[in-house]
Amino acid sequence: MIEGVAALGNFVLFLFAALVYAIAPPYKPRLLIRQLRTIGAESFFLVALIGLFTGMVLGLQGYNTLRRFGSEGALGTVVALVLVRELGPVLAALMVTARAGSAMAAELGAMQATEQIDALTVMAINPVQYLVSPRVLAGVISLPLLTCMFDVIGIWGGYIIGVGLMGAPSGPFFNGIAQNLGSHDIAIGLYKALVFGMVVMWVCCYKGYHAARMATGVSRATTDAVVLSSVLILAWDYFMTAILL
Amino acid sequence: MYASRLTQLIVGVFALVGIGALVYLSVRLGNIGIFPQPGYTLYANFDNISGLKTGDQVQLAGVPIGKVQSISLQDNRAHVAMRINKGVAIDTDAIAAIKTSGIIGDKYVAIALGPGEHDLTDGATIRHTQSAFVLEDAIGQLINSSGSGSKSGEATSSGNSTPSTGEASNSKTGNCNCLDNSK
Repeated sequence: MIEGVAALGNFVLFLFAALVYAIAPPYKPRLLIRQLRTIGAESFFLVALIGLFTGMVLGLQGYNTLRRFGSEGALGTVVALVLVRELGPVLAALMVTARAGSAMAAELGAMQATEQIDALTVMAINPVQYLVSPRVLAGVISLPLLTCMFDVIGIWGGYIIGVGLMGAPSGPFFNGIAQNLGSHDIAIGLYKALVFGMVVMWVCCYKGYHAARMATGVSRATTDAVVLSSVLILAWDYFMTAILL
Repeated sequence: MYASRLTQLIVGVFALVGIGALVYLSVRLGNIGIFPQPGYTLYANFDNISGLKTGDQVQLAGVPIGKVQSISLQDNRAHVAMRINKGVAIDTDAIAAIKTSGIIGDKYVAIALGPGEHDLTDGATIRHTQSAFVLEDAIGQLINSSGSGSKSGEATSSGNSTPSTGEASNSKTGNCNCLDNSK
């Protein structure tokens, strides 16, 4: 019981340390740029693919459902709002977890197992500042950008299927988006993406950093990291929606 | 230990694409103007706007010429501010009406020009307005009038129970009574 509370405290302090060292000198822009490439740029194709298919299935399902009420014209509004407010940030975060987060946990877990993190400490390099802070910062910067790409590609996917294939009217598709997609909706999506970017990197780095020093420790850390950050993303998404709605 | 030239380039392209997506999403798709569009503001007071929202279209001859900017309550009437695009002239006797596209579709403000000699300027108020057509009220009136027609005995009581329907419906029910009695 007490150990559980202490573990939670350690978990929170880990994020706190990562954020403090992210803004404290010495700055390591090159480390950050490297992580931006791994976490952000290299996730682009996966996020684009998932965004395209998500938008396409929204176009298909949305068209078939809306047709029952004779409101195919609302298809664009439905696709855009669902993507921008919910699916964009959540699915982009899940994809980053799957692609970059798992690799991060395994990498840090292996470094812990082979005592490389201890070696950093011996060399008077703060391991949190050197390893964790750039990753958390890169997650916070990358995920909003990835979410925007996901939204745009998803809306076009919905357009291709809904309008191109199923024959929904094309004028109301973009008119509806222009009328109903406000800055408030986009802001909600971006807030969510910011928080998710932090949560994913926080959980994955924590699990990797505290992996047990053996072969199974690395695999265990990777599994825990993916499961915990997926659960946290979806649970946190509900509460953020409830607060920001 | 240093980030290579290639990495910097990849991250730069990534950031540009991401920012481009955000700009496209908000400015092109969401139509959120960073700079206010050139135009002027007109006001109109309605008895009932029933579901008109800010951002809804203002149309002249079916062509979008502006947007509803804000809606507030003033002297128990709906006070609607509309942003009209530059270059569209609306005269002093124009009529602003709230209409619906389709039965459950979006509301919009339809403006019909009148015989007025002068054009309205920024901040002016359109005097003639026509409130939204409320389907429930119309159905209620229809039920009242048809119900009173079939049941001649209760006709006067059902007519009196809805004083808001006004004299027109009363006289109608009166006529029905006469016909029924004569038969």
